[in-house]
Amino acid sequence: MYDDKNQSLFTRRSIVLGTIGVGLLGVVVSRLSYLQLLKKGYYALLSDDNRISLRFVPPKRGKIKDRWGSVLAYDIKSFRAVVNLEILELNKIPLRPYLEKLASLLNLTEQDIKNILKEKKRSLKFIPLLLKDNISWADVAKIELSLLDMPGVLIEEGTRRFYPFKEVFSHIIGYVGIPSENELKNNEGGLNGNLKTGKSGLEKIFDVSLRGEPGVRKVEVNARGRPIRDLSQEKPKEGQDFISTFDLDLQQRLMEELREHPSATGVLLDIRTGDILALASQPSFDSNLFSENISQENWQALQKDPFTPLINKAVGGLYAPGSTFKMCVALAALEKGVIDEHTSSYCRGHMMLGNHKFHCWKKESHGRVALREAFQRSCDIYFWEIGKRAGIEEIARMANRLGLGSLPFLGLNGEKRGVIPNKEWKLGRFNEPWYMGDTFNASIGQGYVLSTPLELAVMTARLASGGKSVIPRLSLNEPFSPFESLGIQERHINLILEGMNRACNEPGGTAYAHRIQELDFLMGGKTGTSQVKRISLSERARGVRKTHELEWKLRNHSFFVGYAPIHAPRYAMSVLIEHGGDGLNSVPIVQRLLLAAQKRDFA
Amino acid sequence: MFLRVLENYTIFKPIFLLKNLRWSIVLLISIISGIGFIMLYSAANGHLMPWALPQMIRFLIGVLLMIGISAINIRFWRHLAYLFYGGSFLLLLAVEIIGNIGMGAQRWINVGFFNIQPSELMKIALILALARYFSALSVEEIQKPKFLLLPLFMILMPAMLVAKQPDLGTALLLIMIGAGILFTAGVKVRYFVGLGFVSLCCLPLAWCFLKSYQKNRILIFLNPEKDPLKSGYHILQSKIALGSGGIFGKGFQAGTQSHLNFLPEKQTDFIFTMFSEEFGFIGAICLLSLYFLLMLLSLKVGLESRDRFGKFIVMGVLITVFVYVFINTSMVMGLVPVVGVPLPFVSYGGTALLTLLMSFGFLLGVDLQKHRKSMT
Repeated sequence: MYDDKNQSLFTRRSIVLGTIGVGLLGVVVSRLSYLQLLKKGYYALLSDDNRISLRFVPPKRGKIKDRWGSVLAYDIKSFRAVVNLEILELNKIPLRPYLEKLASLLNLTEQDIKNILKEKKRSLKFIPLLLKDNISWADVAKIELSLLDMPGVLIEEGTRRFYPFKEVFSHIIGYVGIPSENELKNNEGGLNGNLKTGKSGLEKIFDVSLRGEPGVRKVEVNARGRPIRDLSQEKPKEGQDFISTFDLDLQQRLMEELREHPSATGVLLDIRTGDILALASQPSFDSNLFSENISQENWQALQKDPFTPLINKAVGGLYAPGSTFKMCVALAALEKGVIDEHTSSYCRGHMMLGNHKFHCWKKESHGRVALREAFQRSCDIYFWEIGKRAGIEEIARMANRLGLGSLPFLGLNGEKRGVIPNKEWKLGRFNEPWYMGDTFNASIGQGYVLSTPLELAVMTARLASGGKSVIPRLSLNEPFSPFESLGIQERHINLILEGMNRACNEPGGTAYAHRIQELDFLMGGKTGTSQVKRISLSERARGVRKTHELEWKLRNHSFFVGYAPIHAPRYAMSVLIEHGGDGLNSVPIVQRLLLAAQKRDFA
Repeated sequence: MFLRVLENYTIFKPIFLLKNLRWSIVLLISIISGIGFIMLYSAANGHLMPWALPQMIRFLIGVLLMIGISAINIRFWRHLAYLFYGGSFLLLLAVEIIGNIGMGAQRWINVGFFNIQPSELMKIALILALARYFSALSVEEIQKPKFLLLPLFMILMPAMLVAKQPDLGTALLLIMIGAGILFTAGVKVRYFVGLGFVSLCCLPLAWCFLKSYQKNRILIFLNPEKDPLKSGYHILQSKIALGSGGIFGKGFQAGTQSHLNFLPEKQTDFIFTMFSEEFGFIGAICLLSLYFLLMLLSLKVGLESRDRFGKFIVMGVLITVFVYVFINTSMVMGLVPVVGVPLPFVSYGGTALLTLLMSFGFLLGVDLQKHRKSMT
């Protein structure tokens, strides 16, 4: 068992290990001396009777600007009440009764108290807990005075989001708020309960870059938790400013125009870049209400309003496009080669399909019309004819190519995609075959066809650009890449544009009364009357079609899509007035906005 | 039958134990544990509950266990070494499986009235098994690489399982114990150099296997100011408490940092911080000296022992204590990342205390062996 060689080897190696061990212990001892002997003064300062408390310093959220630099959203100073939980613990004060004592002072409701208690569970005890945000300066003084005998409560300076243009941009910019449980769980970019996050609109889409990074302030506090002095501060990192594609002036004008109507919406695009210059939905709401923590009554009122101010109708409203859809039908027929520019049909005011009589909108008949006149006067008979020849599949494909029912989402809240029906769709949706009558309805933008005003603006832009795949965008921060061609024959598109030109600028055209009269700025366009067989915006609307008796009660929606100038198209626009009656009624809004946009360029 | 076997290996004569047990080691352990009781009493603001009293009871049970183990002939443990290792490994595996099915990171098995933590058993089992393996080989054999394969497996398999639990501290300890025994057994130095190099290369790979909070700990260790609100907070507060203790400390129960709850987990991993805050540099040096003395005495046992099995056991126990002390103290001072490692005999916690006392039971048994020889 005993063996001399092993013995000495073990001894030798044990001593080697022992030496290493002594060396490592030496490191520990020298570190100990460093901390306790050399740095004692420094750490004693941090410790002593006063202690360090860590304070969260919110970053300044980036501004949101319009394309020319006007500020649409920024942070303003506000005050908030917080409580230092450590102090409560030290003084053995339970939180709930403490909050109840504070309730009258800070105007806390029972629900607020519940929320605070919930927040406490998930927050770190050494970060002061938020009690109330956005306290006015007048209240601050009052509270400070009455709080002298409440240990732990502090008034901190913070920020609040301010939207100077109130309801003008609400649907686009959205608002910010305290993050929800879920948002915290995803925790993108270091979100925490003290940091506000974008809840909708641009604030939400571009939240991470707008948000910035919070800083930390080390504060020396006394035993009562009152700050004595700052020890160090890690500066918060400001969020990046966001430059949107919007034009404040045009957006305000659009909003003013829309305000004339109880419920309306419009979109103005720059054709070359897809920049959304203006996008508004009426009625709107004031974003500031949300950043100040909206009251229950205000919230209820917004939700119950029959004109749905919380819905952005430009991207979330689904409407039958009416005659504005005729461009897709004609282009489909031209591309398929089943008609040419001379193809004509005779309108006697109605047309028979089997034993069902289809009426043109004009009972007295249009007489013989070819493509251009059909657009000019929006003859339904003509489009039934050519729609029949093109077939629904071809029409649907063309509509999709022009952006209807196929646009990528911008990220705005409540966005919807339009419905472009075809045989497969109907079979899947209703388990029914496609009838010729369905093609007729679709050919004049009725029946199952639905689209959003944004989609129609994009369709117009794609046509006016000579067939480029214009894609709308909200951000000027991203680089722009030129649009590809959709591969549609130029002369076909030119025929359509000529038709739209005649609808506006030839006597007898449906929009002639409201044409732009300054020669340099002429617009082309197409009216649309969207039959209200279904209540737009409501989900159950799709496909429920038992509203014949309602038809006379509810006026039709009024659509107009237009572009300008006709010689070198630059702007495209769509406007919808809910129950605005005739398509003609929405033309003036487009006319004035397109004119303003063109003149703005020269300014 | 088992009792008969045990009889063969046991010395029942109390006089033998009283006379030959290395009381200096028992005394040192008691003093260090006593310091622990005092600190746990202080941590509870001058109360025996919830920590000091249970710890004292566990200590008494553990000391009895320690002396009982030492009274049994070390050869008996040698016989059982592989069986013990196998059993511990199976338990570890079971915990892994049950843990996966059950509630996430489960490190123990509940057996009615107490919990078994297989990773703790594994430490002892690994020491015993490696000691037996190498004691059966000659130095010439040990220096051949083919004899290294099995012990490497014996070390790495449980280490990997424990790391997966995830308990990085214990996994690291298992590897250190293994490496220490391998080294003192006489494995050629160049293998260690090679292995060190290989593991250095594997470091980036290991990084991928770490849980995100573990990565975080290491990142925060490298740059503690990065996250002063969360993990970095502990280290920051620990350094303040420790540093503000100065030469003489703030006095018993007068550590402001720890008593005002600025210091987290003051009764377990951060107890050294509290001790140093209250008793200062002098106190800390005294405590470290006690550990040093304990290790010195243990090393003496190892060097004096004529039984290679015993020598390796001593080495294993020594390394365990050393690693605990070193990692715990340098962790609270911000020298190494925070891994949950207790301060031996002082930190609150039953399992660690019992395991340590049991380990010292083996060590004392090794020491008694030489007297046993002369008796029979």
